[in-house]
Amino acid sequence: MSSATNDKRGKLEQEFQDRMQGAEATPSQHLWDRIDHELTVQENGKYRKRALFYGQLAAACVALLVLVGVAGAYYFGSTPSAEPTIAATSSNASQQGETSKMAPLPNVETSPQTPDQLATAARPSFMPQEMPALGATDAAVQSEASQASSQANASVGIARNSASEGSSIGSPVPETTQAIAGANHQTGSNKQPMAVQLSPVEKGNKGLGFKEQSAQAMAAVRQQEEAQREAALAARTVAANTGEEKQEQSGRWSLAMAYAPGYFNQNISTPGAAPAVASRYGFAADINSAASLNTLYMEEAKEEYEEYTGPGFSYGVEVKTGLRLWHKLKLLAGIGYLQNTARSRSSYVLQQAGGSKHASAAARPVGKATVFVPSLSASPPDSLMIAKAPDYSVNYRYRHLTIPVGLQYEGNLNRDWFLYGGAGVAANILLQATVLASDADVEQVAYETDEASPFRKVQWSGNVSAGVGRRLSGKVSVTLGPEVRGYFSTMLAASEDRSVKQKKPYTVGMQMAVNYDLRSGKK
Amino acid sequence: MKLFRNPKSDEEKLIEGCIAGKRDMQRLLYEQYSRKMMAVCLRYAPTTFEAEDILLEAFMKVYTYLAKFKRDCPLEFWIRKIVVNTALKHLRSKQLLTVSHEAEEVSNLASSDANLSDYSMDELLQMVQGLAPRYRMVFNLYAIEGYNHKEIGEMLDISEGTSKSQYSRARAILQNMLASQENNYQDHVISN
Repeated sequence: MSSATNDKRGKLEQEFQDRMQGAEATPSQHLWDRIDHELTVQENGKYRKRALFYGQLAAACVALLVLVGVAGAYYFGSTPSAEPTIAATSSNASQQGETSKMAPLPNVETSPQTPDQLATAARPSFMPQEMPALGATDAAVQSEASQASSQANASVGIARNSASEGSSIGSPVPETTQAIAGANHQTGSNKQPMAVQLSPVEKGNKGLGFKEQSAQAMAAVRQQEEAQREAALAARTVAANTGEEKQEQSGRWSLAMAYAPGYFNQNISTPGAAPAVASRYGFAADINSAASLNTLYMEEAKEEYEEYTGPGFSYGVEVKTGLRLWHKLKLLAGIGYLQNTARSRSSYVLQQAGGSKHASAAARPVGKATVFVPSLSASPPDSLMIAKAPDYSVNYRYRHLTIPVGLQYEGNLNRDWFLYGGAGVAANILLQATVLASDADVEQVAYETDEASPFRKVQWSGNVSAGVGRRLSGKVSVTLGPEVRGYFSTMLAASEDRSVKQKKPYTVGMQMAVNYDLRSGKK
Repeated sequence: MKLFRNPKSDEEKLIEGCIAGKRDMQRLLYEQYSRKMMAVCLRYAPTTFEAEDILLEAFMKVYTYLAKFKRDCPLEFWIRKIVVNTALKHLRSKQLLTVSHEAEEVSNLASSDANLSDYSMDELLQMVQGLAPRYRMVFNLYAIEGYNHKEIGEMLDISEGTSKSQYSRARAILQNMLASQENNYQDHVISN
């Protein structure tokens, strides 16, 4: 405390110091009681703060669970019941189906039609071209039957019902879809005014709630700032004697937005060249038969896949909420979108003849389509015709909804820069897997999230990242560093075809993020 | 590898007990240091009540920040520092640290230092408390706590020169007080 430069001390100073430095005075007896009371109040405040912290943590967990639940419900609840086919899942075909689905409704409403036309209109949307004969016949019979009543009544509404009934025979699920579509169509003109009428009421309510909440939040923030000011002063008191100890004061909650580009390796391979023709059919087999040619082409397609397939570009975008668990440790949870691709080349196309797993409902051959080669079984079904085509590029694209949870530790390098290290897990819900062809004549294949898809619907992954960060202001900081993401399971679900060799996929890339502290903090 | 740990000192046990929030240990710490710290508070505060307020606030800070005590100085020294700073903050909040013109009253400064051994502790304390707040602070910090004027300037947010001039005035006032006490005493003896 004393200074070396304090050299002009006279006798007066010395005597005062000697007499008063070690002096004692007894405080009143009630002072301890007051301190005791203050300590009790402080402890209660601590408990309250701790309870608030655990409350916030529980709320974050609940929010996360709800998010996962909603995502799961959306994902699993929207599975279509119709059996998919390559033709049905290919984007061109599905677009055609969409068109044919929507076309009959306006026609039915606007103009009376002949029974044949109406029967055609009554046919379920995705059935006209590809539906099995029985379904199509039933639908036609039903629609014709109902058409009789529609003719008698000459009513557009009944014609619409007949259309619904017709489709209900073929498949129950599209009925609902169509009925809803019809309802929407009818009430479409009323929708806009209703929304306009509702919005001010909603806004008003929301505005009041927000005002109150913000007033409360402001009061809490003011209180906290007061406490922080006092704590800072006390800390300065201590620091003046024992050395400055910087205590970073930052908000407990933060928001982060991350972008992570990288390379993705799907790690799926086929068994390579197999002595398929000779071993499977023997020397006596007719090598020129259609089946053996098919097999030969398939083996060659697999060889091509083996040769040309490599890692592709991957990127993920995540929005995360951060909760400071301890001094420099953050719990991060949020939601994101992940797109992984793998690249390949092919000179084979698939033509479908019906009856296979991949083309079960096709009644006629469809156009040339590419296919996810490893998903093909070793012995191609007769329904699949594999044909030679000019070389074209293939992109395997996987889109995921990702729900990440992780921990991140931040260590200061200096006032502005810091190092971070993080690890976490994520549930990756497959939204779509698409095989894209560069050739316009070759249809792409989109595996929707249905049972026929060979891909896992949910894949868990773990990620590790580390890097540097810079604080741009008291609230905003940016981070940059490498990230490795490994999946805990293979891309394809339990394959029926044992010949598919696959390992767990992984991604290597960079992660860049912007963090925003929700409460004010010192830089 | 250490096979045996050094036994913890009583002070260490006291600190750990306080950090753990044990009320008996907190009481013990209070009893151990409250009298010395009360004397410090009395030198800074104008009244006993305010001195007790300062002491309470200071002890609350001690309990709160004890976990950050680095043990690089004696505990008493650390507590005293907190008490002094709390007193300064208290007086600053009451705006008592304004510059007064008390020095103008000092016309003839006593040239020699008086002998304080004849004065009781209460008398000395009364003299210090009789100084204007700003002078009292500077005098306490310089003469008793041992800070230099640069440090005092930083603590009170004044320049080093101001600290020096205020101290010299405070010193002169005290010397005058001592001189007048001396004269009164001599007059009393002569009259008897």
